[in-house]
Amino acid sequence: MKRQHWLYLYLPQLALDHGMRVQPEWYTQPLAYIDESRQKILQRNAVAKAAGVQVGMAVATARALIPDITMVNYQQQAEQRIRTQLMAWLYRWIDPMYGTNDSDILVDIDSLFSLYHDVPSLVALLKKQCKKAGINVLVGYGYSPLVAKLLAFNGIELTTKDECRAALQDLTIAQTDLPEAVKKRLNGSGIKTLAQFMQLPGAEIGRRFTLEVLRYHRALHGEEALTQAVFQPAQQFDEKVELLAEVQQWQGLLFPLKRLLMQLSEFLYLRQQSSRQVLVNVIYREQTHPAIVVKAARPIWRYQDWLTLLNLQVMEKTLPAPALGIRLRCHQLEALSSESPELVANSQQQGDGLHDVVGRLQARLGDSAVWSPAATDDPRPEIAEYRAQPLAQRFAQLRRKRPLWLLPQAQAIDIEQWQFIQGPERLITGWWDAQSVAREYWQAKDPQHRRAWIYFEQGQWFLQGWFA
Amino acid sequence: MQTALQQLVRKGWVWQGRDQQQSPAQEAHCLPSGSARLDQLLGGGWAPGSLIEWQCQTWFSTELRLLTSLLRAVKQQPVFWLNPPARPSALGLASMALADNQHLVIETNDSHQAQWAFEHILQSSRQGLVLGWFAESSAEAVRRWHKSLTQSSALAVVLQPHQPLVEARAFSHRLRLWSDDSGHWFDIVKRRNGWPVSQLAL
Repeated sequence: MKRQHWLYLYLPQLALDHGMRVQPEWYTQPLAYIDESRQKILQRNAVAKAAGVQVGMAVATARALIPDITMVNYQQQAEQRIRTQLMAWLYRWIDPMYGTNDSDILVDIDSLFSLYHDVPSLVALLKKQCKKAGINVLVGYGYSPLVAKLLAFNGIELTTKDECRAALQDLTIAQTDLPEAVKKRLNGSGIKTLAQFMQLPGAEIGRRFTLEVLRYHRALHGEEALTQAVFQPAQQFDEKVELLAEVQQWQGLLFPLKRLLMQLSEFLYLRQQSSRQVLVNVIYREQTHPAIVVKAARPIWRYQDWLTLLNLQVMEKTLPAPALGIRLRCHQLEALSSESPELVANSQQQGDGLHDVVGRLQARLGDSAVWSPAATDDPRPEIAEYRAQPLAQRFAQLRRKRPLWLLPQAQAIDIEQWQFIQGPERLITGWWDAQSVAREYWQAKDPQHRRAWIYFEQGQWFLQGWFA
Repeated sequence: MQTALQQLVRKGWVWQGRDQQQSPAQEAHCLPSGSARLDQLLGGGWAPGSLIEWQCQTWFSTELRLLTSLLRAVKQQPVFWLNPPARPSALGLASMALADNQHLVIETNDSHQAQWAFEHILQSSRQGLVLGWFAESSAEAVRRWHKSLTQSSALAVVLQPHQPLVEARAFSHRLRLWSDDSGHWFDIVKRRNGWPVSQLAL
């Protein structure tokens, strides 16, 4: 079925908008994104604009106007990554949508009329959400993707088909995105407006111009085949922020990191997912360092929780070199459980609070610093007892009285000073592996009247633990 | 709903000078110390939300009598063991019927980190038992721990070696424990609702 209603979201300064959102200090200083190879200004902020810097202006001219202007190399790949983030944000309201080659967004709205009554309400919603995300947008509506795009590019925001047709007819050839050579040829042939171009028979265009121009002509008449794939939200989070200036201390990275974590939070919430681990890479000029692994004791999704854990982990660290950027990744996702603390009224419940405490202790002291006692059924105490993951304690079935405390290693003792209380308990076992034991265990008192667990093995007495 | 004053009274923060005994309601919240005499002197036992100091002559001795009683009293609640002098044994805990508690052992060689961990646990735990073994504790650290416990019903015990000089600290109760050939003994160096007491049998 032919789709007849399209919206084109033209994002004229997406990289700049995103950069300023991540680094708010950019709002107050002159800044421009430049095409390094052509030495042209591509995007500039309000401060630079007020000083006379224009899009398309030569970099040298802009520098002459504002000597201390900050210039950032424009990278289309980076901008398209930002576009993908925006699409993921908009995905909760609209689908299907497509990413265009110009880092813009195309939305097929035929199927959305059952949710949104008319085009104006849908346009208003999209504008509101883009504004919330700090992104400038022009929304063009049209009966084909190209028509919507041309109107958006020219800042014509209309919402009915008739208005669109009329506005389209009024556009000049110069206002289209046809190749410059084609524009010249059309002008040379006396075809100055889009209305004239659209009236030309297709056969004639095919004969006089390339196939590309013929496709353009058909697209203006609503006959357009989309080649892009429908947007599908990513299943893993991987985002990067490049810093305006080198940062020497962790403190300076915390704000951009917070923004990234907020994006992660949004990402997880939209998918109703959570995670136990994120990876933070600090980007340096020359060195590469392993990622900082931030682990949570339970699956979490809120950025505040991640930020607390990260703070605890890095607060006493120093950066080995000035940082140029940060990358945040989250690959191991888990479904957000209906029993997650955020979804129940009382988030201060003891059980969940305990997991949070464990997570924060581990973040600050290291994973291995927090554990729960556990034991298997092996009769040898050194083998039976082990350090389990926090709160994953396991108690084997008990046959005999055992001491509350175990020494890390049994200590040789002089039995002369000890007083036997109870025993012996013979332990001859472990013949199946290389750690066989043949011991006689006793409960005994030491000279300070402490009740101990001692054993005799191969001619020597040893202290193994203390009873309470 | 309890008034603010009632809450303070329940926590034992208001010394009711007319009588050293706590009311039956207060006592019902207290955890038994394991000694009837000590319970009486403490006004019913250890009040939840208290920060207690046990000064020990040596580890694994007199303090274990008090500890065993506390562990049995905090059933099904978390127990934090910060820098214990040996490994708490899972089999030992099971043989003392303490498998219902959630036991968490925290180990760090850095005394600064240990103080932070103790404070963090006190801030975050609503209930349970928090045990911390320290070589010494500064007045500043104890003050911070005491403050961290204000919103909590957890009971915190700081275990330290005998201190040569008894300097003022913000502990609710301070006990000095020792043993000799004739038995186990304690001094109450400080308590909430009474004067110090010396050389009592445990």
